Amino acid sequence: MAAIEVHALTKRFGSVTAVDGISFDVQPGVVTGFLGPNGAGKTTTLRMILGLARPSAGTATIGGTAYRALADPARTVGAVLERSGFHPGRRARDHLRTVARATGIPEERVDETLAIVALDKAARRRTGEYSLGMRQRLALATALLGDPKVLILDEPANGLDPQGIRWLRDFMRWYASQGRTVLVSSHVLAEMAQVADAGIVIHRGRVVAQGSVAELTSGRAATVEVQSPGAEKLAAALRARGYGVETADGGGLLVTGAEAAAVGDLALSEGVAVHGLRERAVSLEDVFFELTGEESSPS
Amino acid sequence: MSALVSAELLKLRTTRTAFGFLMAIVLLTLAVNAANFATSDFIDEEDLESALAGTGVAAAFLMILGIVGTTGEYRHGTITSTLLGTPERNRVVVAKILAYLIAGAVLGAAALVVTLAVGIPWLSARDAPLELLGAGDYLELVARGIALAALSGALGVGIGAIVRNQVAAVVGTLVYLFVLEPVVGVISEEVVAFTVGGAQTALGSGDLGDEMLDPVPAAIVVTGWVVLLGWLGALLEERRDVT
Repeated sequence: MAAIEVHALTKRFGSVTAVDGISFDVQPGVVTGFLGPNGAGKTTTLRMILGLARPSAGTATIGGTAYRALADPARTVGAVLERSGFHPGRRARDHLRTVARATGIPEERVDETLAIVALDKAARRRTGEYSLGMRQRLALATALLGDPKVLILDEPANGLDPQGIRWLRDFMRWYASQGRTVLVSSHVLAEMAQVADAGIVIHRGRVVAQGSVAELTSGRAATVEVQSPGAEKLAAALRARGYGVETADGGGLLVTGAEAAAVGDLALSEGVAVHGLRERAVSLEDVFFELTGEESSPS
Repeated sequence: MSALVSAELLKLRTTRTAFGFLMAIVLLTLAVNAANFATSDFIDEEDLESALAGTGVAAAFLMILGIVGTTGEYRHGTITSTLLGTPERNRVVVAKILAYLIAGAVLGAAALVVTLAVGIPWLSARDAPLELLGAGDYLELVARGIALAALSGALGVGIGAIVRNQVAAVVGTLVYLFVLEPVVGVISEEVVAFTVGGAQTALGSGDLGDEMLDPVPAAIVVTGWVVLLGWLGALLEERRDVT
């Protein structure tokens, strides 16, 4: 059974439809990327799943139950949201203590989660002194307090340094490998491509693709990059056989719909030298651009 | 529910806001009372009771504390972790009301201690007829003062749950209490006796004339306002999105 089930979920703000009847399932045991450009409706969808925003229509359930009806939400779901915040005058450890106290989680767990996110040395500082990356770690510690089976992370890499991002990737993989569910949203594809096993791509409030990364990238032509001193002759021969050819930066050719072997064989038969030949697999990023027709944010 | 109330009290203790309010309440209570102790004439029992009713200043501050504590969750974004842990929002509002009743009682007690500790020796030195007040009078003074302080904190929670914007809620409350209600008072004293501020004043300051309520009905009216504002706040919280 899917861990998270979203059915025909819709959110309208006045005349604007931010989320337009989307449906998807999220499976346990894998990291699922929730992908889309900024403004696609990712955060609004996650807020509806978490009972913070009321859907205009449709349902979202976790283990078959709506969030607001969960018997023990803190031990079922942990979430990091973009606007989860802290009182600047409260110490990090005290923030976690207030959440633990309200949800009946023992106080020892506060120090455990601080250690998991490597904030144990800064635990007694006021959160107003925290950097963006430290705040992200504290938000993650808050999500982990109840040792939940489902983790929902909205743009969790924001503000993290490269080491922090690598750590977060490993952490998400480890979490999913225990049979738990990880749903992580991002608009930065490079970040997700390395960790997600499955993806849900949304654009303008609608799901445009979903499935495992293999499913998402299958059926799409790979690209072969070839360097050759006789590029023009090779390009003409490739085009004559129906391949798409573009000139890459640095003078090479980008051949779509071909395999490296076919391009190499053709170069030999044309008597053109090959200085470099590389097959580029279809990435999640390629799929994303094709589906959304938008440039990824450089951040 | 006790875990939620305990968590709310922990939130209050782990920022400097409540301590700041405690300091402000103690200092302003001292200042206002000192002026009164030094200049007023004390002839009968009512003069003494109104001089020693120590939580009038505290009441306004405690309303603001309740507003700041409730709206601060939206201002700083802690409402997200609060509601993820406790998705039933009416329970959160009730827990906050109970916590601010307790906090209001504690801070109000501090204001009373300061008032009595300074007031009794001072009035005694001015030869005020303190012998007119018996133990029962003091008991009533303390009970009224603590009730006013506790209920004022709870009123603030209700207002903050209705108006999430901190500045709007604080400014709106001050304008209402110090501008609108006095205007209502000019138009009709019968009506003003049942307003939030009118009933608070009647509860805190004792006998103010025929139109004002006695302490027990006044306490009931203020409690009614706490329930009404809290109910409305919880209803709105349930319906509104947290962004």
